[in-house]
Amino acid sequence: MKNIFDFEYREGSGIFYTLDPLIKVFLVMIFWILTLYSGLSSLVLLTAVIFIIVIYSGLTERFLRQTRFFFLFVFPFIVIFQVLFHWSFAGENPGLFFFNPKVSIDGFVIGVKVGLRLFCLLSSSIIFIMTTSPLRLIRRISEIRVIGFQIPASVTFLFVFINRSVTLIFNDLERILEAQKARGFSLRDVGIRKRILGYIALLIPLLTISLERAQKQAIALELRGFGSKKVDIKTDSQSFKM
Amino acid sequence: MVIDIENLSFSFLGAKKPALRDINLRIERGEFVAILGPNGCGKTTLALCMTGIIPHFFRERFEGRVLINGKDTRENEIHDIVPNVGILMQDYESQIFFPTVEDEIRFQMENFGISPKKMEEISKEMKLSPLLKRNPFELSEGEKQRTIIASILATDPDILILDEPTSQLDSEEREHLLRILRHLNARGKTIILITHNTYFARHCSRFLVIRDGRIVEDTRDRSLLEKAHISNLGIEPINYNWGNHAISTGCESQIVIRDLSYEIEKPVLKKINADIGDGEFILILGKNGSGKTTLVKHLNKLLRVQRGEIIINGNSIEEYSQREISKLIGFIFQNPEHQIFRNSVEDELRFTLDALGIVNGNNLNNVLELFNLKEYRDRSPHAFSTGEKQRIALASVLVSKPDIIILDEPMTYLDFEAKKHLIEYLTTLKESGKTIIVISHYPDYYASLTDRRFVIANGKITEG
Repeated sequence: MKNIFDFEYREGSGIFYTLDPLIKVFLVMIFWILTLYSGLSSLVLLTAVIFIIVIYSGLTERFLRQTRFFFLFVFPFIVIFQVLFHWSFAGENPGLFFFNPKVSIDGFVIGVKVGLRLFCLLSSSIIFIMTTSPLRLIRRISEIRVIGFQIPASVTFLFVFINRSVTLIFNDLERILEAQKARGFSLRDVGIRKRILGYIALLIPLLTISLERAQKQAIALELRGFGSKKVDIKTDSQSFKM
Repeated sequence: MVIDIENLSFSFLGAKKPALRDINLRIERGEFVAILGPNGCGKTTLALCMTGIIPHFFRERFEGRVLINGKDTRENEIHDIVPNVGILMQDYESQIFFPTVEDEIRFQMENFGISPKKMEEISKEMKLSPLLKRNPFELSEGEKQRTIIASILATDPDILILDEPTSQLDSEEREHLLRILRHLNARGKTIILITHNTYFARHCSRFLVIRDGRIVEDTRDRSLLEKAHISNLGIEPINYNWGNHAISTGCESQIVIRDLSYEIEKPVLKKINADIGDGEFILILGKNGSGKTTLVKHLNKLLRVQRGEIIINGNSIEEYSQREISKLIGFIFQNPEHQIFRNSVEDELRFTLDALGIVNGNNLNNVLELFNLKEYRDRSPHAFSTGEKQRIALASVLVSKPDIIILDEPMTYLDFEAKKHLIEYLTTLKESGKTIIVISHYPDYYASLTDRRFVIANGKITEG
């Protein structure tokens, strides 16, 4: 299995592990807003902040594995695309099709900006997931009262469910691709068109497996008394710190 | 009395026949009960009735009454029933939600307001203390099961139900699980074991046999498991003779493995050397995580050779394209769910032929017939039971007539009848000269077929 569980939370030390998950949600949202409205120099600064947090939290190796694809393929694609085609769709009347590549420095700057912006949005989410215990998060969410009303268990269930399901769906996809390869068909070795069609065809078995599993998970959560909360005893040994 | 079931009948929505009919059952505190029966007979449905999932989660036709510690499952909510009864599901990975063992147990404790002091006690009892910070998905199958049992025990339930707990376990893990169950039973817990494994079930004190939704046997007589007539009920007798040991004959090497090593973060295979002859039946044994599946995945290029060499029919494996190797070697995975991805049974088989560029698909009809799938050729493969899906997966690989067939734990989801069919089919394949490699924790099934055994431990072949 290819580090599928790298993406998940693991116990660690440092401020980002001990911070209250709700404060972390708030900080991530602020970071997103800053990212969306920053210029190139601020984006470079925000990227540096990301790396400082990653190194400080001891996530370097896992983080680089997670973002490797982005740096190797997505970021260069965005920059090259902007360098070559920026002027084709800039201006007041952008053409529907842009077949006239024209190298431009502006395109390069915009490409780097778009790439860094995407990186900041993506990596701040990854850091949040890697450093936040889902149990602490749902515990804090279930404590929230809006005008005296608690957030429904079904909403919290969604967090638990998504947290586990995303990883498992990728795991299922890996196994199906492996089974296809064993039967002589590798989606990774075919052209783009066939690959896209192949992935679309995989949606059916993936959906079937996911639905079956969703039902089992819903049963499992019921059996574990999720949402019953008869007695409110905090079992968290870590105190939240700023 | 902990469980009292009166006149219970239940049908799932759209089902042609009831899943359970007229069940009357009383189970006393401290009993160790085995529930046996073929696939689809209603064993798991009965377990779900005992937990309150039926009728609260599945609200279809439910008649009769189920009392758990005096609580009527219809009149009480699931979370009122659950502190009395815990269940380890067959697909126990669905019961895991959190990225650490500690959080997994803590979650259950918080839901029921259990004091955190109990964490230490439970983790010690289940021997999980050193694993508390680990991700459950990185643990062995036995450790995953223990994690779930530990979270169940947080509420100290009187009843523990285990649905096919041994299907993924190696012999050592089975023994470990048995010790835990005996210990819990000695503490007064009622244990209900749903299983196809009669050898494991022999440790129980009471035996229920279900067939077509009815209890057809209810006895404390352990000799039931040895009687020939229980095979008519779809259950494997404990002393069933799967055949005598085969006598190996010398033959030309078809697969040669030299100094094969593989590592992913840590060494998995360490300088493996092996020769497999043309037409041989090789059984690969070893504990979970010992490297069995990693070894066979190299044979059809699902894993790239990092160090060492594999020669098939005189040529290095590197000289074969993926298509050529897949034509030569058919691979049947453990879980059939991941091998089925088309919209009809026929389409599933045709996928292999198309992928391998086999134009003449005469074998398709023969294989459909052989696996009793002809009348279902237009049906969605996803609509079948797990045992039937395993049959479709097998058919979809064998349709291309590979010379070498690899099967990874093929018996996991099969009941007695299906197991017998598989052995018959493997016998036919062997007689036709195919080379067969099987990974299994249950060598007895293949006794009559096995030419040689490879035992893998810590990434090395220790016997073979």
